[in-house]
Amino acid sequence: MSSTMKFLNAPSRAVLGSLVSCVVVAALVGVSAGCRSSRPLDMGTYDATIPMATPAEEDLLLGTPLPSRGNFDPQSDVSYGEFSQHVSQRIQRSADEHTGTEVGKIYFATNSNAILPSQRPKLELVGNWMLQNPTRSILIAGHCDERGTFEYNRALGERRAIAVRNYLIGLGISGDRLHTFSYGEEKPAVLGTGEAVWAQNRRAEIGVINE
Amino acid sequence: MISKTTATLLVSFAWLLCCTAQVTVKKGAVNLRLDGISGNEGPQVTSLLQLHLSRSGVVNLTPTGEDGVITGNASGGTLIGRLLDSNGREYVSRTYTGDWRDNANRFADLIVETLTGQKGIATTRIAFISKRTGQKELYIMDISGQRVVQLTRDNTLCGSPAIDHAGQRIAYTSYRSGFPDIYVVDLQTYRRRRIAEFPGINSGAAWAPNGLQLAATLSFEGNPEIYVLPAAGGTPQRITRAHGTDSSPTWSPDAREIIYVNDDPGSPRLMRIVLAEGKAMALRTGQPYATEPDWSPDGKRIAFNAKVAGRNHIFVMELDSGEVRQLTSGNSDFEDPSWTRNSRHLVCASNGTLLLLDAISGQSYVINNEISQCSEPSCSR
Repeated sequence: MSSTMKFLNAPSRAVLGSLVSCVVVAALVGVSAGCRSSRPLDMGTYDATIPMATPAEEDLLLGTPLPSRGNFDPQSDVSYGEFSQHVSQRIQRSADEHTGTEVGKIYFATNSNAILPSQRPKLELVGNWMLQNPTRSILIAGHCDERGTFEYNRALGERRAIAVRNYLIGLGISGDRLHTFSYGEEKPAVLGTGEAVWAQNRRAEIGVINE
Repeated sequence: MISKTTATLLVSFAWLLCCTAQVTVKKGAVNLRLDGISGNEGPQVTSLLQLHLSRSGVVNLTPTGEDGVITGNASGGTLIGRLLDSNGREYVSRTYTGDWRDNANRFADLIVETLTGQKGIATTRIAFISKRTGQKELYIMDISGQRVVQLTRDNTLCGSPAIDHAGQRIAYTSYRSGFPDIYVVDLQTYRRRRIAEFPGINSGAAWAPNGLQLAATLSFEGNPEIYVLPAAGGTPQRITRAHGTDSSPTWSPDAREIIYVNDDPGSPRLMRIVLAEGKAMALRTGQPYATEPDWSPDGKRIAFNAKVAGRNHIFVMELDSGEVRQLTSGNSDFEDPSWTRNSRHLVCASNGTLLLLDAISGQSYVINNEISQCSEPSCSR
């Protein structure tokens, strides 16, 4: 599973930068297909003579298209407390002092959408829950601290939500069950200023969409 | 026979026309005397003219009025505005009918344009956001701060207003569906239409110069990127293909290029992309944290927001020379710059107050609209 994540995140940047060979394209298309169905990679089954990637295929590697909106209201039809009881000792050990142990809240560094190692155990719990509840979908809402400008923060919050989504896709969850959107800096978890406050506001909140 | 004063006026006008509207304009400022406008609307018209002319940067209001005298009559919705030379001879006379504020704004623009060649900005309309009710709502007003109209009462989040160049429509982001979608408000009919509701976020709309398209940030393909879509709604065309967050587009006046924000290196910076080529290049602003670009109507400069010692300040970059100047300073935040049509003045927000900045003189003026917690101003052209 971790090898799948690698292709979705960091190394795909380097590989994309040199999208010159048909072989590389073929391998990457194979990877994205592999992610979706959660099958192990088998490089040998891909034909090196398939045509160059179309823009649509490139887009798959930069991000997995979001599912259609669906018929739910993010305010009234989503339960953000769903994961709060799932606190294990492992998460308590890995959480750093600012960022708490609530499973449904994933914290980020400044200006960053990278999934921090301390946040991974929470996402694995969410992933397990989703595997056990295959009919349920979640909404991931991205948030930022107050320091950026409104519009940049709205986009950055969305990118954080999408990073959480990509991580869960890497754990084998279908992207069709993973909705995202962003509040930017508009809904801080904690009011005030200073790094201790900002750290709690740089987050993605995971809510379960009511059935 | 041309009087000495009239000759001076003509010479200074001709001299200004042949210079680019920059530092030289101020050197050529004209000295005018504002005599009280008579009539029952005269006092209000006089004070509005005074406000606009004193902020123009090209008119000095003096008791002697070496270069001319402003006078006239304003009664019952009619303004007869007159500009005399210092000997009392009529230079310009114009009659306006309508709301006294429209009349005064139009006369102020006529004075500035006739005497200095610089475009007048008194008739500018500003769309903005205020949180005075406890929730962000969309508002519009005159650049004087008068005639504030609260357009929305949705009691939900909204932001990123962009008024079109003609001042007839506002595109903005609202969460009234629960999700961030782009809406367009028609200011003639006060009808609102949702024009982008793709999965993820729909935000940061910027009007193309022709008013037919919008650039905006959409994320439905799995990453926040810049797209161009019809202003009436329709199929978006993707412009950027980058890692990182792409947001806050602004168009070049010829509609061939877009400048936007990308944070791939770990901190937001300004990028410039030629639409036909699809190749993006970073602008060398020298600022490690740059957002909120706004391309001036004359195409020559970019106003943007940069973080300096933890504070947001307004900067201007000249695109030809690459020169970057910091316009604001001090221990306050200044955000969301929006150029007015003369490419000299811009409007920004500072701690809930809207300010008019003169990028040449460095002067700033509070736009007193009696509305608290204002942000994100956008000026008509």
